[in-house]
Amino acid sequence: MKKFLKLFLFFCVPVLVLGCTMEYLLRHIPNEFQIKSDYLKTNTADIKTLLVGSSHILYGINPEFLTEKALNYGNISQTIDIDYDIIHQYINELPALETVVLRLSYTTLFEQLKTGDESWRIKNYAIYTGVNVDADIKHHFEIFSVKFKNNLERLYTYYILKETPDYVNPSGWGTHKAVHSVARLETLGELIAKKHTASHDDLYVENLGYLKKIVSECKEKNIDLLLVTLPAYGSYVNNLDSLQWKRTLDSGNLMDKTYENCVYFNVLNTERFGKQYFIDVDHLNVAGAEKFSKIIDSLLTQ
Amino acid sequence: MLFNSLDFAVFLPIVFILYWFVCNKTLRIQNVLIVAASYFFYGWWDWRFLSLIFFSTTVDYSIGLALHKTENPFKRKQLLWVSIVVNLGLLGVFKYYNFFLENLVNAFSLFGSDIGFTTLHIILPVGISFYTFQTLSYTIDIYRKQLEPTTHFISFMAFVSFFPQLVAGPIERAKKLLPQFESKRTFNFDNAKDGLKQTLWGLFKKMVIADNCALFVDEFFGNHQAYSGSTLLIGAFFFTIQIYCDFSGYSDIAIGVSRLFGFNLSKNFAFPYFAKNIAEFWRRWHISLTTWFRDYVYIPLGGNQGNKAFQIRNTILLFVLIGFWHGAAWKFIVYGLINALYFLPLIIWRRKPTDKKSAQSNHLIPSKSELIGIIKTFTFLVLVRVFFRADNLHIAVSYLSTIFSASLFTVPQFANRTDAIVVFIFILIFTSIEWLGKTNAYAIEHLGNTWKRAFRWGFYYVLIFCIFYFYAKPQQFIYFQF
Repeated sequence: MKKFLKLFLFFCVPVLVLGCTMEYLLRHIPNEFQIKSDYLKTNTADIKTLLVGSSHILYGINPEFLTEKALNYGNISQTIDIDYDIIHQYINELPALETVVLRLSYTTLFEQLKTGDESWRIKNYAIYTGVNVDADIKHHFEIFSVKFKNNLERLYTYYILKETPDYVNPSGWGTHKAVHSVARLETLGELIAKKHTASHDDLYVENLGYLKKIVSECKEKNIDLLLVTLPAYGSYVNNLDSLQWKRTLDSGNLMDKTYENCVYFNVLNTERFGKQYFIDVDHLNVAGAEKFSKIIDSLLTQ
Repeated sequence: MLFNSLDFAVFLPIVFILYWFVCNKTLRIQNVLIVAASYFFYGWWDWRFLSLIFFSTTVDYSIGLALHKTENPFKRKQLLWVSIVVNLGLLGVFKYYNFFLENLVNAFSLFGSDIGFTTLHIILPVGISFYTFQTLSYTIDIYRKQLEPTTHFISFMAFVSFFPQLVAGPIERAKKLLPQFESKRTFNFDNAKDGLKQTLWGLFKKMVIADNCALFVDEFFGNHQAYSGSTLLIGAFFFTIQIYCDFSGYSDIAIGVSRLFGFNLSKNFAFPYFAKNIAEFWRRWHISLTTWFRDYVYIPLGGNQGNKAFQIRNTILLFVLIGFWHGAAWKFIVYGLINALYFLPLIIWRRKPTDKKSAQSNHLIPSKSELIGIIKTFTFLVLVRVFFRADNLHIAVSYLSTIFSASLFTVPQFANRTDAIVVFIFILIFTSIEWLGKTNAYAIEHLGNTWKRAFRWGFYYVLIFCIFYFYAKPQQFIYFQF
């Protein structure tokens, strides 16, 4: 037995050393979650507005255009269950918090991060934030959450090529670099709308429950909740499934009617945002974010 | 808990250390640990179904003892039927209820009668087809007086729920496995080392080959209307490789892990794709299931005795049941039936299989007749597996129609040609290793044993690197759904 264990451990040493080194190096590649966590730590007492949601929020609202101090806690593929975890956590930790801005998109009530292909992103919350999310063991490690091949690429890009990934500004707004051509905007709409249309509604009730819990918890703390559906490009909006969209819209309106502290603001299909304001069919670009942030600010300061 | 998960990588060393260092005082404590670990392992999916395993265990344990106590043939038969009804009843409710009900309703509607029905919204408990067959064979063997019942309930619990083989076999016979729970296990260095090697090979088969094939298979079978016949043929080929690497990979891991604990499980695969004919294939594929059906269904039906019509009936029944065991769907019944039909010429013309020295023998280059036999059998399997993989019969027929259309002679389409080439290269390397190691218990059993440690370990590191570097989207083992 001793011989077996000795040999086995000896055999594992290179694998363990390589794994630990990779984990250490990966964790030292700057990322938006660290930046947001740092911002939270240094501005705990001053943050009055918390923006939460998916990439729509991440790229769509720039806190620098808001009057009050705000943090954009939107992240790619962030779903409402995670939104709830974030709000539940920070509602108690941010003493000056007055308003939560939460996205209510076409997909919001029909998806959860942990059940989709993007579940690996849970590691970002487990490793880099203090948010208490439902994470497996593997999500506490970079090396087990992301494919080995992709991790090697990340290490190569950052440490060898010295290139940094897309970042966020200090208050959490995403500085997206990619821009689609206008022609792509026209053709992508149907494809993305199809991709965003849920094949089942198994998560609808549970997600609606999360939404209700968010509104209720905000109400308990005397915090206003602004539910927003951000602008999207016409080729996308025109191809949405009417039933899925109706259920989303009805849920937003129901929250608005039922809860005093909740306002639903829907600008999905607005003529105010032409093609010059989009990165792609459902994300605003820099100009779009500036314009939309100002609209949100006017709502918040009313 | 999946074998290819981090959860299992944490679970296994903990159980191993507890087993050999903490609970090694008495056999009973070791068995209690095995039961606890196995129930924990199973409960990781859904703890509610633990009650089913416990129920099946208790019933067959009690019936086993009761059978031993009585010599009254009528009472013995009654007891046997209780076990059969309970075990097959569990399967019936959880696996076949909706299928039978839906077909009954369809049958009535053919005659213009519309009967209302309610399907059950139940999840199929993982591994139910495996452990019910295992406990059933225990009772039948006692009924046949081929086995003495155990009086140790914990040992029997461990036999039924042993975590390495609980959810997808090999389906062990009590005669072989139960005595291992009732005798002292000693740690054997060579056995444990070989067990680790077999586990590593199983992980490689599953995570590198099966899961990478699955990416293409899922796409081709999911959107078969969009692809040409040549592409779909490659999809069927990939699935044939996927299901073998997936299931035999699982079996290798199960056997390898068991060896770490001092247990020897039965061989479940013997390089089936090197079979020269369908009879040989079924002797090499999922051996623990086919031998179960042979011993408890085929032989009691008369087996290959009697006239040809009788043999044909038995063969068809056997294959249809094997097909139906895989799932409650017509596609599995058709899958079994086609296999039976392909088998019939061997019965009708009384061809004695001459496979004894084919893939079993240790020659490097196959003979011409051997090669033709292997290719013919493999091609048949590629095509018939379409029924196994397609969502339903209609899709399977449509898939095969496209394969046999003019588009078979077009250039295959791949969204990612480079990935497809990588998968092909892996399949080629894998097949070569399997061919070279075809006389062993598993392909790499003796590979590198005479090499210097640096080279041998280097080979293992390469396998580990491939597992990490090429592993695709993690997929559940295919046979978990059965």
